[in-house]
Amino acid sequence: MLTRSQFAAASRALVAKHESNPPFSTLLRDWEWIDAFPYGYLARSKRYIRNSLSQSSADSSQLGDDPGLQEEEDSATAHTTSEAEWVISQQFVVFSATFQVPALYFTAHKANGTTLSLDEIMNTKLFKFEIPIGSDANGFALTLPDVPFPLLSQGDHPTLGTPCWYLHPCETSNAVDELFREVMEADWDEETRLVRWLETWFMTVGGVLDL
Amino acid sequence: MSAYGTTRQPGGGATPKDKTTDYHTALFRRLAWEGTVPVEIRVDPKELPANSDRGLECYYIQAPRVSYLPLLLPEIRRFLMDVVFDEAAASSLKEEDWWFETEEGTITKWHWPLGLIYDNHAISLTVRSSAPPSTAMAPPLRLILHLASPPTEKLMLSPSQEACKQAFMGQLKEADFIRWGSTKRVTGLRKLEQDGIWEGIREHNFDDYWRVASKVTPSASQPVPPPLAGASGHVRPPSTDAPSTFDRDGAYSVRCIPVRVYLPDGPILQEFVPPLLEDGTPNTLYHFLSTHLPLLFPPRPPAPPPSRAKPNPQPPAVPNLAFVMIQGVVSPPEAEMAWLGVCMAGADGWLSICVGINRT
Repeated sequence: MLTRSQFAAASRALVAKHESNPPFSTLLRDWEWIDAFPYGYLARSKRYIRNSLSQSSADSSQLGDDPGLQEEEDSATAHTTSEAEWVISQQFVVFSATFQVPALYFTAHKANGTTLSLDEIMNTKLFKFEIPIGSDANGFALTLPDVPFPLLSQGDHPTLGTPCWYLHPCETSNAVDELFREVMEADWDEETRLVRWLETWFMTVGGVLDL
Repeated sequence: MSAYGTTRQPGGGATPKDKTTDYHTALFRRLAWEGTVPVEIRVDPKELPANSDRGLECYYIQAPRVSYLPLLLPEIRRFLMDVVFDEAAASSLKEEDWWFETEEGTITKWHWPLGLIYDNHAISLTVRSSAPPSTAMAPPLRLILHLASPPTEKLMLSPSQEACKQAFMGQLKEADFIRWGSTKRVTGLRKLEQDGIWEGIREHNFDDYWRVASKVTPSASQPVPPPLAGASGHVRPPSTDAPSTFDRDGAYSVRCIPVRVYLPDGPILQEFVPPLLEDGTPNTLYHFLSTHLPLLFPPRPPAPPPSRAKPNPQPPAVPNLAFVMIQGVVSPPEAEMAWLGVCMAGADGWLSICVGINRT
């Protein structure tokens, strides 16, 4: 658990660290700290490709023997995969006032501005998670079996007030703390400790979503 | 007075003071539950299908504060189909594309309770120069109903009742977490009970709702007062008419109260709200607000020491820049946060504090 001011300090330090050390890590370099009222947050924009297109080309090549049909499919999929469809995602790391931990919020749009549905999001390279059997994806939330909160659901950005998808922060804190205990060193100062904790957080969330 | 309005007290016989507390708790909870707001819904004239009966496209409803817009859609739809639309238009209605906005252009959220939408609108008017002077009667909230092209940038959640229920349950669990550090009280409810609490909202049934809610809402029992030091320096024991058992599930035993503060047209604040301050006294509304919004709620200096000329001095007045509205009622500054949290909270467990600006 962090306090809000620790989150702000860790975020600022993380942005500074990854900005000024180019070979260090490109993964965290494009995050920016937005000092908004009343609560600051990290933000960046990223593009992803949609899986479904490359998958549909694989599927259709296994279709029946009708050469006419196959040819048609092939030319159609060749056409679509050549103009790969991009998904633009605005991503935010906000501080969850309820759970006192960072939480990942994001939006996902096609290049023409239409919002993606939950199914479409789960079908992009943004989503790395293998969905376990018994999960429930009902259009507005993805809930794993036997977990009190949905893994992915909709909520308003705490500062901007705009609707986003967010990864439920409830379980990440424990996971991050466990991992962090492994890497932590006694001689770190407070700032180093906070930055490393946040980096561990990014790594944990990175197991679910492609960060 | 229904027994379900109060939280079941642990332990033995209730003292007369407990019974009074129970009565008041039940009274306020009932009042909050029965509160309604007037809403006027008008279809955007530009979107009225051809052959609609114009002039009748306005629907008035006195809606429960604890209800939600998606729950009103069925009756709005029935009205439009019966009165306004002709058959061709009615058959092409796509409720999933409906959305509402206020006259000022604010898009109304599906997952906010109607009472909050109303109060939030009322405070936003306090910062507009065109706002009419307030009258004794509550003016209706005028909403424009659009039938197509929902703005997905600003309003993602679908208008379905299922989505609304899930958002509601999420809020209930968050409130639980804030109070106790875990969600086990809510998640420990049987599925039937969890569904039952939502059904209580859908059907607007106080008893059905509180039958389950009483298991997860703290009781409103008084805090055990801190021991008083007498002039001789001895510590006196707590007053004998306070409840002798420490109420582990009481309002003053929570670690934090689920509160959100809404500013006019503005952001929403969520801060740590302990029931008791460091000196053991109850946290009050004014203390909480002057801590986080000191410019609107300046900290009150204490009264000057008594003198011969003024044996009973009052603390100096501070300017009344803003007012606080909870469940549509302007709240006194000395109200205790813990009490507000269990008697004036919304059905989702959250205390919504709307701050308006005084116009003088």
